[in-house]
Amino acid sequence: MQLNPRKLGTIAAGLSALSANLLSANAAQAETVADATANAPHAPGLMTEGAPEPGSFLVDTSVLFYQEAGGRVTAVEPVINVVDNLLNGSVINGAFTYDSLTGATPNGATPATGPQTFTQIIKVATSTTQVTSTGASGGSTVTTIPGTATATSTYSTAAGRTPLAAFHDHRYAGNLGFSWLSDPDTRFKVGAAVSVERDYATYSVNAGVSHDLFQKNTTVALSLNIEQDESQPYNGTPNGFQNLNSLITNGNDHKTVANVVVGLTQSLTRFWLTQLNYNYSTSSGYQSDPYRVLSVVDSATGAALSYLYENRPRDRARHSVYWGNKLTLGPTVADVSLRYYHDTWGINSITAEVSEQVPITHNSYIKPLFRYYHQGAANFFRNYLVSGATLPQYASSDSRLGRFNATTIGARYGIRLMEDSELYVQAEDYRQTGTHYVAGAPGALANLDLFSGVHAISVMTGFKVKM
Amino acid sequence: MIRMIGLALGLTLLGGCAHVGVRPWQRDILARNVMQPDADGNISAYRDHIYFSKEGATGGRSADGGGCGCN
Repeated sequence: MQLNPRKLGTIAAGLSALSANLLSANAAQAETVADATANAPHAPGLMTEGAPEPGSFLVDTSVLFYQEAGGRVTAVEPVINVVDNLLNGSVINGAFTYDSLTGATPNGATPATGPQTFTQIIKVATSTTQVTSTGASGGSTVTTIPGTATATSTYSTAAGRTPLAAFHDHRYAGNLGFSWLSDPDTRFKVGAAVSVERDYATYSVNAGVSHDLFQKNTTVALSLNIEQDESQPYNGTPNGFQNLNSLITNGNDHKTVANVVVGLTQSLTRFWLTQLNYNYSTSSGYQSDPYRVLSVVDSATGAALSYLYENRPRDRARHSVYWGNKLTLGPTVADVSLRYYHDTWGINSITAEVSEQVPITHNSYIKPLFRYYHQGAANFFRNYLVSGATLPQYASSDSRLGRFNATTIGARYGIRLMEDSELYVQAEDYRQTGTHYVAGAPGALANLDLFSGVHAISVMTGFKVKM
Repeated sequence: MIRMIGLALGLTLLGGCAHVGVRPWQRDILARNVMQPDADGNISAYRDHIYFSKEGATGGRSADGGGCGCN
């Protein structure tokens, strides 16, 4: 019988796992492992199998179905991800993602007691790609302005409803990475990523180094990423606070992002791996949403008088500290993490997540999870602008920059259908909560729901196999 | 000054790491696939992308990029 290097690698990994179990100092844990493998002496359980070894080739294919409530965003996102673990310890990885996005997203205006009509000037050559005739906003009408290369596009929103603008887009993304050992304890990595949509493109390169210390109980790591984003809105990038119903004369704009992560990973006990990261990033360039406006409302009645494009600062620095833990508790594995985040736009945030992976049988598991997220508002967040008042330096009504909480409740089920493979499905319910009614808002606005946070259901399913 | 304090804290933390952990033959459980920080593969990427596009905070786990003009 011929044994190829990958088979030899598998056998070597199996022998090393076996010897590790035999040498285990903790008799109770050794019994647990022995019990878990008793049903299938030739293969460890789905939750006790070793990490991919040199000489293995992994393929993970999956698809995400994402749906927001209220006729908002629908996304379907297939992904294929391959990892080649070479025998010399080097790793080549690559992934390709396709994203189909349809639906509607808040345009930033406040609801009103009567129907609202939004009129914008668009370039004729791009009119067919901007807004379709269907959508939660009630559809749009495009009318060419004779003798010009422009048209007016109008769409309406019913009384009391959050104004939404319909859209559809496709995104293609790919990344490649290569890492290698310069000595048994030091790994270098380089990579590149591209993501292209109809109106947005991002290109990035990354590099990093990690070094093992103290018999590989400690790993220190440094990663850098440089990203260039190109914003290519259908009608150009509006000036800050430009009127919606006016011609945009600017073309595309861009943003540069630099990102650094310093990390420490530590084996604390046989059952506990902990990771502490500090992440700093800076963004410089165009960071407004080119489709998003703010309502300018009457100071007495709260009625919208006009709509102005939002205006965000061109610079942003972000800091975050992440603490992650993997804990084996008997036959189960807990994943517990915390993150604190702060940025120079004034957003402070806390994220906490916990999951528990529990074996059902030798070849299957279930993993319930819970995530809590809180963020404070950016210092330039405004639900609306008031007519007659001095314009602030910056303003955005994007709920993603407002104060809200979010909870995710979900679970994953995984099953091994054949050797070295796993079929998995994960479902999640994601819900943002915040302040719906703003006390002291002018006139009728005080009785209108100004919160436009999302409620989304996502289902991720995939099949991964090791060869 | 803050950088000096940070450096001193970091070195102290790292020095403490020399006294904790396991012997090489006790790595059986830590070597399992489920104990790897990146064990979730594609699901991690999906979730990062959803949260990146719906929340103001991002980052923490890795420096790798690949954003979007998210709706």
